[in-house]
Amino acid sequence: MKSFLQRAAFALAVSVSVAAPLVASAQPSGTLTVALPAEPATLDPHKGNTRYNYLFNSNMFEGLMVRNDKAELVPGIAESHTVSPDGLTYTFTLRKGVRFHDGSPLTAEDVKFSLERATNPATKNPLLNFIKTIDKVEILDANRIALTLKEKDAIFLKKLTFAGWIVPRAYLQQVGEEGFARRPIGTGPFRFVSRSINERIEMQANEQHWGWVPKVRTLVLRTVPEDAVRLGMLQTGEADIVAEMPPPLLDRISAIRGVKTLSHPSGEIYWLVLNIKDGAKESPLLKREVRIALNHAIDRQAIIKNVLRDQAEQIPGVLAPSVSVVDPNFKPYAYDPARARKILADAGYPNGFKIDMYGSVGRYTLDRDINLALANQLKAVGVEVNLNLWDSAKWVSDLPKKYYPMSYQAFGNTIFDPEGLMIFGVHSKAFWSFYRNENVDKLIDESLSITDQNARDAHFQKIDRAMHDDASHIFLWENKILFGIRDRVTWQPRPGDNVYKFWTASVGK
Amino acid sequence: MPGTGYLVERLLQAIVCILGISVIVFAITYLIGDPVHLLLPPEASATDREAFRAAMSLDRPALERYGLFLANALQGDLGQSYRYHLPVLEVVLERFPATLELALAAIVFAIVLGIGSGMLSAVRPGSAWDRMVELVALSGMAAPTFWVGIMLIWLFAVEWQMFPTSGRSGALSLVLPAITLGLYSAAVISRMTRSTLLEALGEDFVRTAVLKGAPQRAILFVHCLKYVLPALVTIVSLQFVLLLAGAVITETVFSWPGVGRLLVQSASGGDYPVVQGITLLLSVAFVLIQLLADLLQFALDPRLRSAT
Amino acid sequence: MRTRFDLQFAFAVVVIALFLVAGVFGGWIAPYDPAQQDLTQTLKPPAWHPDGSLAHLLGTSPLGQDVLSGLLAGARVSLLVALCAVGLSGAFGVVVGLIAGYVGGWLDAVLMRLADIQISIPFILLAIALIGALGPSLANVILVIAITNWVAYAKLVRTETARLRQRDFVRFARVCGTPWPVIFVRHLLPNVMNSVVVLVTLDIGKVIIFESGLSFLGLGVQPPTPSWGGMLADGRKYINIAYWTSLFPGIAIFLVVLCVNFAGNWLRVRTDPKAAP
Repeated sequence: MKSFLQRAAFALAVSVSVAAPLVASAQPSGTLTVALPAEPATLDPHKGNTRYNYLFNSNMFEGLMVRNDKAELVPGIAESHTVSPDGLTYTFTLRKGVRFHDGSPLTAEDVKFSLERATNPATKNPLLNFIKTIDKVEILDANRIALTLKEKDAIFLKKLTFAGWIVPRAYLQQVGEEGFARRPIGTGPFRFVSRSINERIEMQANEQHWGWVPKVRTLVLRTVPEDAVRLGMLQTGEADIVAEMPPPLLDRISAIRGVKTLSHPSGEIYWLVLNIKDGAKESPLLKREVRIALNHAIDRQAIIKNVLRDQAEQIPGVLAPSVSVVDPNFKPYAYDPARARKILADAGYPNGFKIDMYGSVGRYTLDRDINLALANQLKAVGVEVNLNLWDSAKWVSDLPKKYYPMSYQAFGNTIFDPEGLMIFGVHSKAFWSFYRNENVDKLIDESLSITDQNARDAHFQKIDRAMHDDASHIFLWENKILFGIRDRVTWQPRPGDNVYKFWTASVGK
Repeated sequence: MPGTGYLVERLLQAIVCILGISVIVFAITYLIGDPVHLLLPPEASATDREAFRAAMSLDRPALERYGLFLANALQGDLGQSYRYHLPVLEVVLERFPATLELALAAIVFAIVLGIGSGMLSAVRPGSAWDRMVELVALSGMAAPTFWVGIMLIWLFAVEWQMFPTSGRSGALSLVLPAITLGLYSAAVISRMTRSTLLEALGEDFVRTAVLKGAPQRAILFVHCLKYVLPALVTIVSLQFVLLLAGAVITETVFSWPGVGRLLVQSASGGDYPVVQGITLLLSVAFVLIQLLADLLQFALDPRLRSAT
Repeated sequence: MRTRFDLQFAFAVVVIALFLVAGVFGGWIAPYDPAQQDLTQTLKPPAWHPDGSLAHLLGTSPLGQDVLSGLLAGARVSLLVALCAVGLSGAFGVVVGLIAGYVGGWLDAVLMRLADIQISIPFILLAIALIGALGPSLANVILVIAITNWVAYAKLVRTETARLRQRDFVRFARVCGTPWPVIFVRHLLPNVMNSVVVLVTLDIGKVIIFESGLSFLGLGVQPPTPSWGGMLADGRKYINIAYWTSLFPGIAIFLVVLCVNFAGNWLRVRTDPKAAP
């Protein structure tokens, strides 16, 4: 250290180099490449109906309330809200200073426009059923909006968060519907940069976000349907995160140096759906004893261990442990083929019976293999299963025609409340439900008005138990989604959340 | 003039063909069924679905929908994709360069390997070389495309890391998919070249050239290829179209972002306008390529001209 | 060089014979019922691996089914599809070709335009549509392949028939007033049969690959009926960790198709005087 000047320069250099990382850590940096098996075909949040659309929406757009990275329901574009005593009117106070990705400020008009667009039948919003209880949207003043519902709904906010995305009115009217689908604009943590159809979508951190600026600068979503190819991308480093890997590849992924696996409880429950609602009049499934016998016939642990490689957790009923509070004392039906046979004989089927089963191929993880395994186990107790394995598209298209006596299905988590499953998949009025039980219907109707969370948990456990006792379905498991993640990535999705939020992800060296 | 008569006739035939294709394409997607349940989540109610169906005009009678489809198609409007909510033409054309690139690379590979090996075989018929080429060609025709693709990825991309595993990212990424796609065609072209060349080598004009003392190279390339060209043009045009259609499997295996992969995903996603659009475009391309090949042959081979 | 050639042909004949035996008797000679699952024996490697055992010579499937048994029993489907699909499409194509070539004129033009339309539509799409509508089954797979495969026969036979029609013996028969069915069967058919037979042998291989391709896409024969294409489709997901589930059915298809092509090639060389030895 010769002169004062040199010492000063040195001190400056040291302090800058110490301060620089502190400043830099607030700046998003790095590129995160995620390889997914499918893409959000449309980028318009009011037109998509698949998991990948919801994923894109969660990172690009926001609603009045949002779910943070821990999937907690927190204020979003609206910083607070009140509910009228009769439960029909929700008044939101909008947050100040929220801007769209093009810099224009968010106004009450945008909120009104977006919610009306989402509920307008002409928009053909697939998620309309979540928010059609909205009767009126009124602008009270520049910062306040009032939503009036047609009927009381204890979980309206949870549904709104899933389907009520806010889009910019002026921009949309200027570029038109197709223009918006080409270059969407929202208020979320990531902004849209570019897209190559069926190949990749590039997004960038929104550094003006009101709540959480992403840690990565660039987010690239690659569409790679082939599992082996995604694995290859992980090995060569072309992808940082690969999602939804098939369970058989678990060991291969673990063996790659610099990569770790993540078994992520998906919140999606799997069950063998039995058609009792519109089924044949003389169907053996109409007898409760028969359904109980079938539940005893399935060796779930064998399938989970040998076919799914432990990427699933058996559940006694229909509640997913990652989303709901499941009673720990609740025991599932035991695997007992001898007992199954005896119950069938007592119920009037000593030689079993014939039944048709319809399974999909390519819709769910290893669905072909699991369908075959399930059919085989049923055959072992005398049930002659005629298994029809259909391509995913045909299976889905024909399912509503309601002639599948038995089918392997899943039901996913959308609103983080078991009521979603109940009103859309169990209640006899639901389009996708094949079950009818007056008692269960009554219990579900009651849950619509219970607001206390603990009371809700207890109530749903009651419904779960009722369905289990009635052997409404053949209960199976909650599955886990398998990820391969490079060590340089720090990211943890919340269990039960299958719309992955990437703003907390960071990429190291 | 006999020439224009043939031209007009071929053009009319092409138009009839395309119309017939449009009918069948439309009937196929009509037959596949109802996309409404594929485009809506399980949570949608029965009334939602009916409204959706009406909003998409799916409840109109078939003839009316076909008429609309045809009228729009003639104006270049192939409808809007159910899943992308963008014009079908835009969605398909964005993917088209990738498939074209792959098909061209595959046909170049097939032509170079096919004609090269075919010529070598024809020059030394019955030799060990000929036998080996025959074996490889027959193997190329016997190996299922997806199997070849997966094996190539496994060996050259994952184990030896010489090429990328997937996707379209520059010249290197084109190699494995082009080989996979072009292998069958290379085999067919090889056999075709060999047999037509052998046939040509036995013809009088070749004997005359030999007697006149022309060098062997000149005989082969100048005389024989000219003789062989018409047959080759037919084969190559046929193969090219087979390539466009067969790209489906190769694009799937290599995650190549082309039209073939889009076709399969649209079919399983219920995006029938895209399926219709792709099929129509591919079929029209086929008819046009055939027309072009026929016209090319007509121009090349004087014998055909006198036949009309 | 003659001996080399015959060795190749002999090899082909042996493989084809094995294929036929497996196709007819496979279900009986197989050591296990190919559909029998054993979830405790999933994805066991072939016998020569340290983890493998002689109980399952070629390993097991993802559901514990024996691969060797699947290969033997699956030959049946490939054989059935090959024979029936080629038989149906060949018969139909030959008839259409005879009519088109003999009658000529507008009928010829119409039939050939239909043929052109047929081949313009990508096979994959036709298969997805037809099987989507009719449901996947062995019969429907045969039907789909037959519907799409007749064109090559029709075109070939039509060209040959048009040529033959000009020949003296045919003209003579017509002048004599011979009814056309007799002309078809006695004069035309025997002369086109040579080329048709060669096309058939080359077609069998193509059809076997078509069937495996359909199964690969999930449109083929349904389990528990074992088929090579079905095994390939099943094994595809596991190719990184259990190569045997895909390799062996793939080799089976490849060998059979290769040998059938050899045989066809040999036949063509024998019957076509212009081809080189």
